[in-house]
Amino acid sequence: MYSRVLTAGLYGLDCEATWVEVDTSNGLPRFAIVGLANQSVREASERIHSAVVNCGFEFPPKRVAVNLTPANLKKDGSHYDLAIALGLLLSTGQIEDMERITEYTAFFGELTLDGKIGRVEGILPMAISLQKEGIKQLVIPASNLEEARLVKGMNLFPVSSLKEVTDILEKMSAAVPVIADGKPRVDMARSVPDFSDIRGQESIKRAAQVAAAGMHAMLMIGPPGVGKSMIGKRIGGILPPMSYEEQLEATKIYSIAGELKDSLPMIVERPFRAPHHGISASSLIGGGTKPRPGEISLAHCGVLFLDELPEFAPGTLDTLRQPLEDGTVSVMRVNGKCVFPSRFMLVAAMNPCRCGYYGDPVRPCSCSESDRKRYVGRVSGPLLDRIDINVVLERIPYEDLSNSSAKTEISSADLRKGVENAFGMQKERYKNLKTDYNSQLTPLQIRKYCALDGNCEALMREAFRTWSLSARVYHRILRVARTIADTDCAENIREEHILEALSYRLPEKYFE
Amino acid sequence: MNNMDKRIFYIWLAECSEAQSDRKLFLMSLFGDAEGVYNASPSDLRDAFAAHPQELPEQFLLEALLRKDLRPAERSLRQAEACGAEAICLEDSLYPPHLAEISDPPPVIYALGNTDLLKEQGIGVVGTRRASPYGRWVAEEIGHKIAECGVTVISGMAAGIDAMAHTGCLRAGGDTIAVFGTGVDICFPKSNLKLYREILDKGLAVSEVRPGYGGFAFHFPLRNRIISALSKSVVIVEGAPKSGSMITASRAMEQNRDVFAVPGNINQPNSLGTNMLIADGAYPILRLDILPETLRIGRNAKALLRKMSDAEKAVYEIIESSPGCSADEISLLTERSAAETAALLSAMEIKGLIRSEGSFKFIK
Repeated sequence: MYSRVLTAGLYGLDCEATWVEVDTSNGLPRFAIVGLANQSVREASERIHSAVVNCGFEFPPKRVAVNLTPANLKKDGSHYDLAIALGLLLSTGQIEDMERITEYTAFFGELTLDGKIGRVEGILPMAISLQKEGIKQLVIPASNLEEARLVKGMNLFPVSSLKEVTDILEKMSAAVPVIADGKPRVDMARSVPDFSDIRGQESIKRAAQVAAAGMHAMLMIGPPGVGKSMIGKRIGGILPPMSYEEQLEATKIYSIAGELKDSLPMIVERPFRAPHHGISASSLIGGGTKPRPGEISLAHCGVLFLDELPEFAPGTLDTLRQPLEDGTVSVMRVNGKCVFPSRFMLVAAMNPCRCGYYGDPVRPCSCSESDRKRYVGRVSGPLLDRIDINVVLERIPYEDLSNSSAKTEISSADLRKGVENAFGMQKERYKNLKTDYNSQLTPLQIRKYCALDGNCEALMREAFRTWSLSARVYHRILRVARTIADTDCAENIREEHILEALSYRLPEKYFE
Repeated sequence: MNNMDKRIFYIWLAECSEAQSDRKLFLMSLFGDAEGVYNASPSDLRDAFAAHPQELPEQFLLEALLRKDLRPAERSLRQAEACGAEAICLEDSLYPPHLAEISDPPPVIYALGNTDLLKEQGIGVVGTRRASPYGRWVAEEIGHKIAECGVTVISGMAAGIDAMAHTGCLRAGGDTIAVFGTGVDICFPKSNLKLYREILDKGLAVSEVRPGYGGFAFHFPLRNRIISALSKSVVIVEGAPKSGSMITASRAMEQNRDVFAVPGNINQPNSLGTNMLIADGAYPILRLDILPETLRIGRNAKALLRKMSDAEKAVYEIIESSPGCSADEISLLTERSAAETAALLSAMEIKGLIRSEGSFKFIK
């Protein structure tokens, strides 16, 4: 007898509705799964065997053919277990689907040997694409409920055992679905550290504000212990809250990567990712035979903090170039090409040399000239070219640290105001474009949105003469000037905006 | 008699025929001053001409003197007042002493703009009107660098090198004097109208001919002696062997000014003049980065401070008293936001007032 059950397959971030067809016929007993199923799907046979038997059903001594269609796409993951088991029970007539529920309900779940249903990865993206195809009802593992709840309007049946599923099938009308409202139930408020913890350093705080306001990449250069990491960790806190769409998109990525937990069913706050410098290129940008999003995609809509920038392998760092430009990363694998979103804000920190004291007015640097050049040379010019905001930090005298003056420190809330202004201006300006932030402006767009008046033009000319800047720097300065103007809610770029933007140019001294 | 009236006589003397200024200076030395010349009896004047045929050869000058017609001079003064120019006569305190010391100072100069600039000697930068791209670039850079030291750039606002020297100077926010062959209220050549307006606005225009006077070709080489006289040194950027620039160079040497020349491409006719000057002993400009040392000009701190806004002055003084201070320290002391301080420091760096080493700021 033939039966079929709806589920979905995950291909990168894209999902496709997938039917599990089961046909039971007379013949030598065997259980075959076809349709480009990989190891984890084919192993389902053993799990299903035990689960079915342990739930009081019978595993038929017949020839069972399972086909996953469309059969030309590679299937991966353990969430097919439930649909296959149901198909088996239906085709052997052990349960009956009187209301043809399997035609419009998708089933997900990994079976344990005793018939329990466990958490699966990628529920959110699959639910979103099924909804687009008109499917409104899902049977999901109870532990995935909080994640699936984000897809507004979905009818959800959280289940924790195979028995519960068969009960629902037999008496659908009696089962009450959970209707997803798009809001997570778990309190996920993380405490993001505040900028007011940092004493002084107002120029750096301002630079961080400007960088955040336009999602510009930022590089901090300074000796050890001046608070580079402290600043990096706080930048996410001055970005405006994520929109629902952004939350959904980020959660999708985390769902695929299997990074969602019961305590973190949804990404509601801007991600902060700080991979160690030993990270490989494929962990950073994504990869693996089954393409997994890398750190840059996990930092999508948030901050990617790379501490000790020159310690990263040069090849690894260079893979950042394309994602920084495009806001997406394409991972090419045998199975095809996967595109993951990766619109992150890069915040990098480095010492000026290996010992960290090059340029320090008091403490001597113990590095030789060639040591220093080798050290900073690990960060390639093309990567530096993509960093719009550069700042140099210096050691703070002890008196300043211990001095608890009456002056209140600038807090994250103070900084967020300017950032929110800029986000508003950018949203309005780029509403019909693919661009979201000033940092993404192309040279053509710069001509349009960063027009300069005569005085500003003259100022730019002077600046270029003074510092012998290159044409590439020209665009960077204008992008940053645009952002600074946006934090002021200024329609046009003024001279003071350009002058400030110029102060964030690369300090050549450290790289020559 | 008040000063107002005195100027009439100087203007009258200046406009008495086209005779050279050294003749008129000689007359003034004979009769005391311009008023003395005017009041001298016809016989005294005739005797003077007869007694000094070498110094006073021109009979048409004598005839003009004898007419004693003050009306054109009165008209010139009115015209000067009408266009806002100041007529400064040889005995005025405003008359630059370094101009008075030459052999043929103009009895009167008309100045339109910031007359304070006449107090100090500047650097002359002149050259051909048919300038090469290289020459134009060098002229602009030199003008800029001199201005960065707070020293006035003096030139003739002709097309080519002169115009670029003024432009470079103005772009650095420096002081510049343009010496005209026409009246100060006339922009010549017309193509420099924008530059002319900027010079009147931020610098000074000077001429020995009356406002409204279009001038003749021979007035242009004559004004070169004023350019070199107002300058401590003169830089010739480009010029053919027989050109106005070479006249300026030779007048500068007569006036005991240093002459510098920019070496040029030997295939270029307009470089031959400057290269010949170097061959004859003018100082060559070999490097632009040490131009102030080459021209022996220090940083004119007073002029620089004058150019600064109050905010810049405050920052300048902080950095001067504690070299190597940081932007944060400056914003703390000036009670300005980090953003404003960053913009201010960038602007000062562009103007060449300060430099930064990483986050440490120094006086340049």
